[in-house]
Amino acid sequence: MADLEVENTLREIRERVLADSRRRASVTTNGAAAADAMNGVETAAANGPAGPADEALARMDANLSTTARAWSRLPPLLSYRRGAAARFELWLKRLVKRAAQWFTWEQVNFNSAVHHALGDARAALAAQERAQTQAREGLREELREELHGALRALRAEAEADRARAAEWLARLARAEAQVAEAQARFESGGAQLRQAFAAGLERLAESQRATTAALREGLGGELRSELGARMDGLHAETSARAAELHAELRERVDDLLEEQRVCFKQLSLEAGELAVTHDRARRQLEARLETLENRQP
Amino acid sequence: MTDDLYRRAGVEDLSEFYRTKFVSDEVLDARYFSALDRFDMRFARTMWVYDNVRAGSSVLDLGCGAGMLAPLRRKGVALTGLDLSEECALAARRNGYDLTCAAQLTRLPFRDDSFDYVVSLDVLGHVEFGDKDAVLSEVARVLRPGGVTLHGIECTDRRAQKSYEEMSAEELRRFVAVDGHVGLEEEQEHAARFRRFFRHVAWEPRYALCLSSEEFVKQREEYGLPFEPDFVEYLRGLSHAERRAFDMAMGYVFNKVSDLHVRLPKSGLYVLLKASAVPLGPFYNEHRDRSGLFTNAPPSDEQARAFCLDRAASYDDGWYEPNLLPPVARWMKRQGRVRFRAPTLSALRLDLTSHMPDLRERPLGLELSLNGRTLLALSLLRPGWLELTFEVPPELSAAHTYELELRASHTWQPRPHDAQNPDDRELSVAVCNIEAITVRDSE
Repeated sequence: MADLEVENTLREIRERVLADSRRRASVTTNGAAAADAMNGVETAAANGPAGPADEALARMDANLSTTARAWSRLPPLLSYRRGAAARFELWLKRLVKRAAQWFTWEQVNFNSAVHHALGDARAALAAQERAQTQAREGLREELREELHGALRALRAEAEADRARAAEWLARLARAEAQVAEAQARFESGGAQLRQAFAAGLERLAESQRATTAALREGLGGELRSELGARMDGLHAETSARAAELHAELRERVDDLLEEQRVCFKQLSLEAGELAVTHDRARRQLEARLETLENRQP
Repeated sequence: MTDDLYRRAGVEDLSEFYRTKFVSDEVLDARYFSALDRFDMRFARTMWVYDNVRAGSSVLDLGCGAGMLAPLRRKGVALTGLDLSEECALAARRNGYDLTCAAQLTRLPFRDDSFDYVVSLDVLGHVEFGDKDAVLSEVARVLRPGGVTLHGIECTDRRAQKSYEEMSAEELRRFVAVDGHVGLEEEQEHAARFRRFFRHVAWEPRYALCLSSEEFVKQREEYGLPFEPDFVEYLRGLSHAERRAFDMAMGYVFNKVSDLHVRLPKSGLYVLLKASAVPLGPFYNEHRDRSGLFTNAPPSDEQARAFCLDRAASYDDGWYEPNLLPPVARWMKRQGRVRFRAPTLSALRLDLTSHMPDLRERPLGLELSLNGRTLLALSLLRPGWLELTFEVPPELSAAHTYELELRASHTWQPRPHDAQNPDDRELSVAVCNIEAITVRDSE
């Protein structure tokens, strides 16, 4: 029986030493706590929140195993003697224990209450620790989800921005190409028209001159002068019509250029507006991301 | 069979047919959408969708046309459009859709489970009976688990309307030429078809009570619906402003019918339908949040030297909705006001033009005033764009709230000058690129 008691006591000592060494290993990262631990001082930091909760619970389990075993042993029925001397000593201690029961029962009751209270406190702490772990995991998962969601949204927005920018560039390129094409068309059309018109006028004038000369040759002076006046009138009318056509053409070209100016200005204003909007959205997203990063434990 | 019906009706190029029907110079871009238009009968179906989709969700618009769902962008929705016509897809893109493409409705070019909502307005009536199931199967495929599909579908009344088989070639040609309807069914037939693909289907017959003035005339003249002739004649004689007022009143009643959950009888005209694999929420206003319609803040900041007011200011009823001339510009009636806010204001700049045919003979007088003070008066003598810049007097420059008013000496209507032109609006000038310049040159 004494051997069994000794074995139990040794096991308890071993568990306490192991728990203590784990505690010391964990608190060496904290200078002050480590110094206290080296001096054998059980500080709150070393036992409590600074060390992992599991270790504190393990130490409590070790202590509880001691109280579970020894809370009613007053005095302990134990002898270091052998043979008859040991039996006599144990008989004597039993007698003493029975005789002193009126004296020790209050202490035994107190020990029992302390043991059970510590057991209940241990269970409550373990439950709290589990709840804290679950809450921490949940919060971490939630933050991770939120961060991923924000990143996805940012990525999608960036994609959309890129697509819009590409579209704007494409539209700008198309508009520039259209302007260039229209200008080229108008310039070439105007040049052709002017050339054709000048050639036509030249041909007409030549033919008129030839006709006039022929008529002058064939007709008398009066008729010749009348025809000359008519020809001059026709020439003046043709020149006036040519000038009118030229002015109309110029006006149309001016209108087209003016319309293009307004369209380009609208594109430019929209692009500027888009840039401000995107910049504002980017800044908001960055602020949100920063907030999320700060919230991550 | 679709091709057969279209071919029998004389429609050879389907995408060109729909381009001419549904692409116009109307600007549907959400940035230009006026909150008051939520009552416009033209946007009644758009608002039904707007109030039924979640903010920030993804929406596929089947048969997007020029982009009637563009106002959904005000709700932060990622909007994808698909249409038969390349031109329609481009127009929808121009109107602010995030992504558009031209494709067949029976083979959607999207992965499974891609969208929170799949929406179509006035589309399934254009899909031939043999293709409808394939379209619905594709809708179910691209819809995410828990997603909802919303549809506005044209219907028929078999008791009053001949079937396609009963129509003569000429009748069919005239019928299809109106809108391109080759797949009209009755309301309950549409619902039964959806039930084959979705566990939960809800539908409400609509448009028995409220129609736009234009639709009343069309339904009477083109489809022979028995509306009272004198009423239709009265509607035909309304001016643009009167038609707008009529449509706003009709749109208001339409919204109220939805808000009060009034169940209308079958009319053989139109059905709104919701379907999903999961139990549906309320039929109307499931995610109603219209705050986005009222926030159109300018993207400027205190440091900006200038900012554009085309999309950021409040335009009163003296202005028509924007048109793509190009550029995008607003036509003004005889008088129009623009209200806006600016930290400080040193000058205003704008571009304006007029299409009056007799401008040389009868110049258009214009007067511009700011906060009731006349700053500029001029006459337009020739067509073409004119850039105007004028300084703001120092005593007005820190007013913070401004009202720019333009007054024209007279207006004109395109229709009497051009009988082919349906535009009967009273127009004076078109204005765009209104810039508020906030920093003085000397600074």
